[in-house]
Amino acid sequence: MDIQAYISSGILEQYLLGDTTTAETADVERMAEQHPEVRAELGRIEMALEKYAVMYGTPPPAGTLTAVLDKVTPQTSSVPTAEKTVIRSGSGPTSWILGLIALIGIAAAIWFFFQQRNTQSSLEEIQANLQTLQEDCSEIQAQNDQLSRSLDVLSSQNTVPVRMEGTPNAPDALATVYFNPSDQVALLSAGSLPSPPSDMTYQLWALIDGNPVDMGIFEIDPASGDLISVPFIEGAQAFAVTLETAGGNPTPNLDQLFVIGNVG
Amino acid sequence: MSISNRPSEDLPQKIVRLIRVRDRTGLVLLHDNYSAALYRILLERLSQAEVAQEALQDVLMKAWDNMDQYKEGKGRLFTWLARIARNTAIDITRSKNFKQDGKTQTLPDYVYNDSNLSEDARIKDPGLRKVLKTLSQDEQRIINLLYFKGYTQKEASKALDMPLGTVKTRVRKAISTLRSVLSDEGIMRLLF
Repeated sequence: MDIQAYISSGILEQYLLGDTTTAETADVERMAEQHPEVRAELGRIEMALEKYAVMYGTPPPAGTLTAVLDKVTPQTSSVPTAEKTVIRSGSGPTSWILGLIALIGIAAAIWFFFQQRNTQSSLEEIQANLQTLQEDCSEIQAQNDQLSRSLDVLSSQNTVPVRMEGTPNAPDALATVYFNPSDQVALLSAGSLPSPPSDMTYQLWALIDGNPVDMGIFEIDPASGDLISVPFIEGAQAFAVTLETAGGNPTPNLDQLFVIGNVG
Repeated sequence: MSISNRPSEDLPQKIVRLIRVRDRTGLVLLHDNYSAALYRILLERLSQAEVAQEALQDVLMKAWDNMDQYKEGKGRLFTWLARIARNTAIDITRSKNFKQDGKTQTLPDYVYNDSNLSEDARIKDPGLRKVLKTLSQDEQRIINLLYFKGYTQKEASKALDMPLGTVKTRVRKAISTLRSVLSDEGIMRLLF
């Protein structure tokens, strides 16, 4: 059978308008069961007729619903009015919607709470990072200042490099004092001295007329750069480095002389 | 009736469910959404307001009592209700003490002194007035005769002095127009 022809024959409309014989009615229902297209078409016609009827309905006289509700529950003494029941009928979906809104509200609050907490912790993280960067920056600035000063010293024409050669204690060792009498500054480069034992330390001396003058202890720290600022000693004729007990000594232990060099 | 009062898609399901568990809210919803349409069907067939109101109460009771017999897969709830209303009206008109002043006598009045033409004025919503205007007067008359008044196509053909084939064609065209115009998109198109 041609379904399309059946659909367009008008029998479906007739069926829904209640204008079919018993045999035709059974036929339409059988066709609707067997053919989804017929069922779908019926549904569309139903919908159109329903909307039309609802749109052009005539409101029934007041009291119709009340009478029916009374019959449905005759034992109920209170007569529900249309208004009351309408409100009650709205309370179902209304409370449902209110519940949903509350749920969404709670979910949103939780979300915002965690979001806010996340924001707070990432803010703290960023602040910590910023502080680290600022510290790094000042440190680099300080290093830069020092290197800059060192460079000024090294590049000055008045600076005299004083090479200190290794003694039999450390034949390969080499150190240099950059000595600038006009600016009265001095730098020590102690790059190739061997690392001292943990309970010992290197100490720098200036020699004036054979007498040692303490110029302080120093550490060999390759990370801090090769150049160390040291006191300027007026009239120094030679410089020497000895290995001393931790903290340094007032007079040098000459047995532990590592490098020595004369000015000029 | 405004657009917001048109039954929403899941409302029928809710009504069926509530009535099946004997929740009177279902009956209230059914009344609020479908009573006017059902009353129109009954009033047009029974002519007397009192009789039609009693019939409507009867229809609502039948819906309450027999909701288990409604088969969702076979058609829409309103189609089922409209069928109950039609059958209820037929039962009443066939009963002995029903005063027969229905179809045959009011036919000329209805056709030539058509009160339905003033229906435009009853519809306050301008959008829905436009919906109505998209149907020709003939189409409107035929739908009203067949749907509300319960005429057979043969009776309508006689009443409108129109060949049966023409009636059949017009019914189909009218419903097809309704289908396109009463779809939500159709209403939106007319409103804006």
